[in-house]
Amino acid sequence: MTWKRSGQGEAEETMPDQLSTPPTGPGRRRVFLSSTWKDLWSERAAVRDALEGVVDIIAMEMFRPNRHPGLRTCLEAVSSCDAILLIVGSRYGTIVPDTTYSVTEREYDFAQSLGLETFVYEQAVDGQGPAQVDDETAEDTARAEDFRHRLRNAHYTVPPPFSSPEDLATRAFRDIKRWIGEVRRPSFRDRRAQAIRSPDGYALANLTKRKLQAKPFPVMIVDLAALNAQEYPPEPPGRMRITGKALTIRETALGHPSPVDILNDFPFPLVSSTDLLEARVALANQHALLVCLAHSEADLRQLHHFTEGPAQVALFSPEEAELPDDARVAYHKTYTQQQLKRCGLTKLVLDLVEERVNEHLVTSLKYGT
Amino acid sequence: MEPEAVRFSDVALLALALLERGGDLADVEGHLARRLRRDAVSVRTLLDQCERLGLVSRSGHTLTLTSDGENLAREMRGSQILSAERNKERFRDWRRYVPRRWTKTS
Repeated sequence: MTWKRSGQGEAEETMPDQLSTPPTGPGRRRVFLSSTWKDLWSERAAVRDALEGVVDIIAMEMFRPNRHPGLRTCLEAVSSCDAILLIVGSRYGTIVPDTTYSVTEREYDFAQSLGLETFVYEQAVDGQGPAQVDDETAEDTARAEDFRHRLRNAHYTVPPPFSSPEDLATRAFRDIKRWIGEVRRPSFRDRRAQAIRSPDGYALANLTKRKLQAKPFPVMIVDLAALNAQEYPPEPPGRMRITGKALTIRETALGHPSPVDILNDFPFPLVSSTDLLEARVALANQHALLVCLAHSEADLRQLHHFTEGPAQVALFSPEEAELPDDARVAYHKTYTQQQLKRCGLTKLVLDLVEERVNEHLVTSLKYGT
Repeated sequence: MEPEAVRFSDVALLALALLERGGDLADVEGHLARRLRRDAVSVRTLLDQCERLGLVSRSGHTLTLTSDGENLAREMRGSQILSAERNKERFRDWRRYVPRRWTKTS
């Protein structure tokens, strides 16, 4: 790779190679571990052990030797991560040559400029002031204190200082698990520029999105048990309930180029309760694919409202429920109680949606539209 | 056994490969097998499917993109250029934080 002087030949520059960062698991979030080394190596090891298998931890001790300077390698790694986990102790750390900043502080600043999720943990210090560090000057100690103050002000929810590596590992594990579990809606304003790891994948996703904008394929989930309910979910969503599955499918498909809505969740404030079903059927007919979810045999009696319309109907029913003879559905699949309890049903529906969207895209090519 | 449904992503990559590499059948087949990580048989099946879709026409050992296929390939290339542009933006962004003397050519 050619490394050029800044401001020179912008059009010819290429992305730096990613060889300095270690290989990681597919689809997992990446967290950069930032701290000083000499005083916090045992804390770093504890955090790495605790988060193994949960996220991909990127830490400087995992870097392979390379010809690039340390800060550059670190910033390159930060830019490829989704979050930064910062551990602050008594030392200020290695100063970047020709500057007054430490590498750790520069990594933190860079992560903030990228808008990365930030987890800050401060080490408990005995006595009133910070512990005296032998190999650092008074100036470094003052800088470390300033940095800690800055962190406390910027992250006013900084938890109380941790007392041991085990304590830190427990807290980090809890916070990261919470962060992974939350559903994030895509934001359209102030979205930071993300480095593209797979140019082909990016190009395909972009092309698919544009094709679907030109010729949409809207998908609607129909909960047959709650067709007359004004509010959705009519009861709290539980593990064994269809409502919970419908909400999960909608959330999972949020980033998908073809929108997935829940028919029962569409508000009709001006329609009386007697006309509600009629209004819902009319809305359903404007969609390309209806995914009907039934929980019992009684729910299947509602199916005829949708089979007369132009939309393709896919039905998912429990294996013990018998399908009426006059039911005309394009696709029928039964699910087991185990699939309802776990993620099986959600996966079946999402696979079907993906397959039908793919078919739609290929068909639109065939007819030159 | 039912024939495997053709995937939109495979068709788009095939059109792009033909636009970039010309129409020699063996060359395109080898390139696609590596890029899609498929064996030669399934690549040939994919080519047949694309021919049926009207994206590709074949005469002897030469493949040609039809106008529909060419439109698809150009759209795909446009998306790739966009991805390169976005990567460049990101690259510029992080380089601001590196001291100037480290960005000099050795």
